[in-house]
Amino acid sequence: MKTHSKATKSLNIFIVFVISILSINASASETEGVISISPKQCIALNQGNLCYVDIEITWSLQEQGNYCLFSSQQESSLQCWQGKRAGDFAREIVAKDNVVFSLKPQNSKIILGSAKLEMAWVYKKNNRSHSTWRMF
Amino acid sequence: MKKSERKVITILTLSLLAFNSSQLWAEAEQNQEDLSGGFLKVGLGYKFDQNPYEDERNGLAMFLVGRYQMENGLFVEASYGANQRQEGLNIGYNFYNTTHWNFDLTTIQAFVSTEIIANFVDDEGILEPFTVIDKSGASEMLGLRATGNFGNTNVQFLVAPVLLNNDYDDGVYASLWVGHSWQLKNWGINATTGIEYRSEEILEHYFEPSAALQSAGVPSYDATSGFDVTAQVSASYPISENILFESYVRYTDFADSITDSPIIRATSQIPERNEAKTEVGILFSYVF
Repeated sequence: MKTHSKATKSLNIFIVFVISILSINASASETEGVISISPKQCIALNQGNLCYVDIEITWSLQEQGNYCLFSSQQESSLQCWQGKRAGDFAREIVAKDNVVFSLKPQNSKIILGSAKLEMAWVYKKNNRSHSTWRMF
Repeated sequence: MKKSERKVITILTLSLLAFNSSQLWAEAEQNQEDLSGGFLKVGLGYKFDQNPYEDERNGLAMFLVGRYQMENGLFVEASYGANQRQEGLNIGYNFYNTTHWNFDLTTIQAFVSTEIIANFVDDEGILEPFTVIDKSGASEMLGLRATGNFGNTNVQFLVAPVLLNNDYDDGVYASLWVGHSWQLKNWGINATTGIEYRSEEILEHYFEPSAALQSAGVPSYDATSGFDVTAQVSASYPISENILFESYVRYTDFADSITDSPIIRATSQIPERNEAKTEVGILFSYVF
C-alpha cells in the first residue's frame, strides 16, 4: 500500500514534468505585427550545430499589392505574391545563426515588416563541461 | 616502507606532477578561464537495469549529472543513476589544457559500494537471506586523466594508482573510453565504448568469499585482475533550451575474474539477475 502511494506520487511528479515541457513548447507560436513566424526559436543540442526547423510565416497588409519575402540567408526572394494583401510561407530552415525574414514590395528595398528566427542551444560551445563528459 | 607512507608519497608525487606540468607548460596551455563554468542536469524517467548485484529494476528513476569548474582549475563532478558512468561525486584539478586535450588530477570511484544479498538454505532447510558481499565503502581512488576532443570523437584515459580509503592495499584502476557523436537533424546520437581495468587487490576485496561464507560451504576463490567492457548508444533531442528528451541502451560484460567468483556464479542465477549488466533508459532532463 505504501509502495503503491509512493509510485502514484512519483507518477504525478512525472506527469507535471511532462505537462510543463509541453506548455513551454506551445508558447512559441505567438503572432505580432505585419509578419509573424512560428516557431520563433530553433533549438540545437550544441552551440554551433546546424539547427533544423520547419517554420511557417504569415503576413498581412492593408493594401493589395505585389510583395516578396526575403531571408538573411540568401539574396534572392523566397517567394513573391501578386495582387495579395496576405500570404503564408512554409519551409524547413537549416541554420547556425539567427535568420531574419523580411517582407518588401516587389522591386523595392523598403522593409514593410520583419520577423526573426532565433538560434538557441542546450550546451554552450567552448565549455568543457559537457563535451568531455556528457559523452560518457 | 609502511603502506600509509607509500600512499602519501604517491599522492604528493601525483600532485607535484600536476602542478609542475601546469607551470612548465603554462605558455602553451589553453586559457583556463575559457574552461570554467559548468552544468547540472536532472532527469526523470523510466529505467530498466539488470545486473548480478541487485534484483531487476524496472520503473521510474531519477538521474543526475553535473560538473562545475572554477577559474583556477578545481572542479567537482557528480553522476548518480546517470545514463553515463555512475561515478558518484568526484573532485579534481584541471592542470593542463591544449586545443585537443584536457589533463586532470581527479578522484574516481573505481568500484561502487557493493552489497549483495542472496537466499541460502540453512541446515534446517529454511530459505534465509544472507549478505554474501558487504562492502559499504566505495573504492575512492586518485588518478591522472587525459581527455582528448577531436571534432565529434572523444577519447579518455585514466590511471588511478592510489586508494584514498584504507579498506585494502592500493590497487590500480585504469580505463580507456572512446566516444563518437553524430547529428541527425536536431537529434544527437552518441556511441561510446570503454574498457576498465581493476587490479587483483580491488577485485580480491570485493569478490573473494569471506571466511563466514567459506565456513558455510562456499568454495574459496582467488580473484585476479580483470577488464570490464562497456558499450552504450544514446540519443538526445532538445525540446527547449533547458529540456532534453534522452534515451540510451548500455551493456557491460564483466571481467571473468568477477563472473567466475562463486558469489557471482550463485547470485547471477537468481531470477531477475544476470551475469552481465544491461541498462535501458528513457527520460526527460532539465539542464541548468
